[in-house]
Amino acid sequence: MIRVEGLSHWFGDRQVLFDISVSFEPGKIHLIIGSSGHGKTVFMKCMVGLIQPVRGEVYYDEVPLFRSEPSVQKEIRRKIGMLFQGTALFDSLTVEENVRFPLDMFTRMSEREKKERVAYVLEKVRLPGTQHLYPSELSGGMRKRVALARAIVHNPRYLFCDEPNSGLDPLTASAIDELIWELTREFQTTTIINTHDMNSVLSIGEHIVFLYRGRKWWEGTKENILETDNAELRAFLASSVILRKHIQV
Amino acid sequence: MNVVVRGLFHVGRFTMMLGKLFVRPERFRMYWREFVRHLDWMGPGSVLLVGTISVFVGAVTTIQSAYQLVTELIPVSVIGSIVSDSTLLELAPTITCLVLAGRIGSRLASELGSMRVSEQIDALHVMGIHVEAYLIGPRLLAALITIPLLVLLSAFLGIVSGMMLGHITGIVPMHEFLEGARETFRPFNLTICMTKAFTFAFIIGSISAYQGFYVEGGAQEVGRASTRAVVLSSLFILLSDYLVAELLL
Repeated sequence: MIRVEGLSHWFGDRQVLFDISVSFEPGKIHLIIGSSGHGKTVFMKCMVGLIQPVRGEVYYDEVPLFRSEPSVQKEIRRKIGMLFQGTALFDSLTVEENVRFPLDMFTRMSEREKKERVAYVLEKVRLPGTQHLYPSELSGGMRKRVALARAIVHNPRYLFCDEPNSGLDPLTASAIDELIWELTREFQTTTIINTHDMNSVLSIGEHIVFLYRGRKWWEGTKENILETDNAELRAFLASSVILRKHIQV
Repeated sequence: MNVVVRGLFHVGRFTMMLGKLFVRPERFRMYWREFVRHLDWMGPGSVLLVGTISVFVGAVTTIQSAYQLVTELIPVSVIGSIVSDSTLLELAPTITCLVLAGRIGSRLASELGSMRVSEQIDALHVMGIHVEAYLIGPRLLAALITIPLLVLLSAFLGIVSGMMLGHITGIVPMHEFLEGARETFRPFNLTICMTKAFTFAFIIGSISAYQGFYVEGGAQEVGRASTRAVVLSSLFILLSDYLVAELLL
């Protein structure tokens, strides 16, 4: 379980996150939605420790991330898998080398075990037999799936995905959503996704947090999001073509 | 004032970056692999360039020494003395390292800068890896090993090419060149040469890595960082060249 408490952050004089508190239960998919520039990415970067917030704390199974010793922070981070918006694959490494990187770095698995594990996760993300290819030889959707494979190869307890569908066609985007859903169920991860893709909201959003101007503005499920009377959320939802018919602003 | 504050900021961050290199590697084999990869492109990859430059510098020094110094009163063996001493003390370390600041420094900065803007460094950080140690440590160590070796190669080729050119063109017979070189040779010259080589290697490796590692922005900034790496490395090479000469001679 991840618990965020009183998270606030400033860039210079400009406050970008305002006292956000929220909990994310394990085995569920949590969506953080909101328009661009309203703090989603900064919030996620704070949660994984890429940005140290000015105020507040993030607890991983009640262990504080920022107030802990560096060794404890490292331990927490090793339980995290993250899918970056731009995939962040290592260009100079093949698909196999990319995916097995966390295993090479942190485990004492044998060569055969690593190969089997890589083959298994590549199978999971529906990219079998691509081990020898380089990231530059892959399409955008394939790169995302390789990045997802790398994020889950070491069985992380927490999976973070920053805009997993950005730049993908609708078909590939829903395939990625489906994959994340399956992986969350299979590995019982606490999955947190930054998105403004309404397809994702309606298909896999079990717990949704709406950020507006750096504040937690609304929290609920995909079942009650369409009935919300929150004006800003309704306006946000109405901007989506697929939701416009359900929402009257 | 602003310049002073910014200068202090960079000095502080640079020092902290160096401090973070001294940690226990998560997996020594992975660090070793990185080290060998960089050793390969920095060393053998630079031999042709360094060799070509050294041969021409040695030859030109012989011709110019003969033009400026040799009269009926001064023996031709002085050419051997001037070429070997100036090559060891100044030309081999300084010219080689100025050239290597362009080749090695720019590549280091642009490689790390690209990794930064494509979130590859963030990905390593989230995995819980000592990012500075893993990315900068092997690069800096490879520079500290290859650059002094390249300087030695440059000194050898510079002196030999000067001697050969003198002999072939009839400026100075080989035995007189060697006699002159032996007459004024002091082992301490080699110490100065190596002191400069290690100092310059550290400058190229650390400044270029710093410029690349802390890039903010996009592709344009990576280009700027690469340029800054070359310019600053060259400036600090010249400054430390003076300081080493002042302190040791």
